Amino acid sequence: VKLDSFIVAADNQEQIHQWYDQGYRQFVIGLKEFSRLGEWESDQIEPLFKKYSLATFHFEWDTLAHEDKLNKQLDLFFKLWSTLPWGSIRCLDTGVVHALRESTFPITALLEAGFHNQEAMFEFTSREKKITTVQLSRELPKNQCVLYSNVLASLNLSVELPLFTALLLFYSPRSLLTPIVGLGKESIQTIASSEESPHKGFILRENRHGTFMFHPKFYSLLTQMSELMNLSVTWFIDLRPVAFSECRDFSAQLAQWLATSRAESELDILMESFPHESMRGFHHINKSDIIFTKLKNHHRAHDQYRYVGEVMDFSSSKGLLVQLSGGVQLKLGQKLWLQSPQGAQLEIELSRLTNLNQQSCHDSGNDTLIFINYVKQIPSKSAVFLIQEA
Amino acid sequence: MEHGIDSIKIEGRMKSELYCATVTKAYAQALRSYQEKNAFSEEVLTYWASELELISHRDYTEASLVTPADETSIYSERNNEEKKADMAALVLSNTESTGLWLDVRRAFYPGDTLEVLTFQGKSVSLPVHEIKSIDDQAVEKTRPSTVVKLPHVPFVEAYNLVRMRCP
Repeated sequence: VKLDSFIVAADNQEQIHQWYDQGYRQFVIGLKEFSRLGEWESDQIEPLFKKYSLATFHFEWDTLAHEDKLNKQLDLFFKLWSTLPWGSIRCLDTGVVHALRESTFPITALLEAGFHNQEAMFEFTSREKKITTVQLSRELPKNQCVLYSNVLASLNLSVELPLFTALLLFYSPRSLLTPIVGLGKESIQTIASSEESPHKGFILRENRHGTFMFHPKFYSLLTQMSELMNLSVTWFIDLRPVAFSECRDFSAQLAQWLATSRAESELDILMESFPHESMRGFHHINKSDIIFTKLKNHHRAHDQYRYVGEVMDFSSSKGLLVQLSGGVQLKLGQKLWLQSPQGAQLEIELSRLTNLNQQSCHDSGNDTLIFINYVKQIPSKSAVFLIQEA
Repeated sequence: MEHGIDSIKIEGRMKSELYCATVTKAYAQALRSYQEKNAFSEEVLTYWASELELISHRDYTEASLVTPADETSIYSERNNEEKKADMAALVLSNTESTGLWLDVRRAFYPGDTLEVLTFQGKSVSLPVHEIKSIDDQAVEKTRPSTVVKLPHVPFVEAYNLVRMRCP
């Protein structure tokens, strides 16, 4: 893999220098005015193009495109920045992509906010002719990354995959930290815990664009490098919002590791110099699916068992009081499957049906509250299923 | 409504049944009333405001609708939330012949006064005189996850929610 396959979000000149010295040439530059996490000031940009003449710089434009701010940003971009030889403009908002349709720059569409299906990606990229590269979402599993990479490549679109980035969980245009920390700082960064759950370590940053909350762990596919490097994609590395002063060593070591060994055995030592833990997100396996599998009631999903309703109360003399909510009419002689909240499961034959007037019935008719035969082990909140004939 | 908005979304996924029922009803009534009269009367506004104050909620804010939200829109007083009403039961059935069947969610006693959030109009007062179990036994104190029977009450329907004011 050539080092040109890596694109690095650089926070400052020192970081560019670290990576440039190792041979990397693709850098993302985030100006404060246009970038959610960028720290670059206007007067720092032009010298970069002279100093790092072999590098390609990419303009980051990923802020929320407010109606009232977009035109001002466009004016500013064309007045100050469109004369520089940017490699591309990296856009998050579809409106910004469209607004730049007349510019001379290729566009990298950052599809982190949705576009998790081929239809949306094809539709968007075919309408916006300036898009030459697509950065896929960091929530996609491996098989979809591979599939989309191949399909987009066949459309002559380049693909970029996040390799090491923070995971944005929450954004508000409001200044949520200022009331706590106080005014006077252009940017506030801190670590927070959840009041409502045991989760802690969330990285918070407030700046001129609002407040951002990130997952305590970084998204990292470094452990997957050996199998992923066969893909013809660009790999995006972004250590923000971690302050460069806190990850200076890690940044240098990562640049070296990617340029040389890429040995998995060295990863633990490498990660020791990074202030946050990392994870693979949904790339390898979606853990939610595993958890849901455990919680999933197979009888609900299975064709043989149709949900009927819930046991609301019980009495040994009257029976089980069932609220019917599954649109099923009960009839004497049917086979039912009962499942208690504690896990007890029983199959019974419906031998008794009584309405609220204590009249015996052959079927439940239009009633939605009905007594069925009493079953000792089945308490309130038990689920009732109809066993359907095959 | 004047701007032609067809639908509004009310947050409910992480909210209680009482919150959802109260807020949905208040907005449904407000929209219906505005559709009919093209204006809100002070009286109904006061009534809906008092209903919304009964549920446990964060401070209400217009967010960025009129002006960009500032720090006054940030809510940080969770510890001071005061519960003014609680869900007591859900109506399962209500007919003249069988009476009012309630799925109990919190304890109440004969002598208590509950309120039923009907789908239309103001809530209906429900003085509790006698409570019976599904076995027709007298109940002195209801227990959650049981069903109890009360005498029939006009205008109350299945799936109406029954609330109890907190002392």
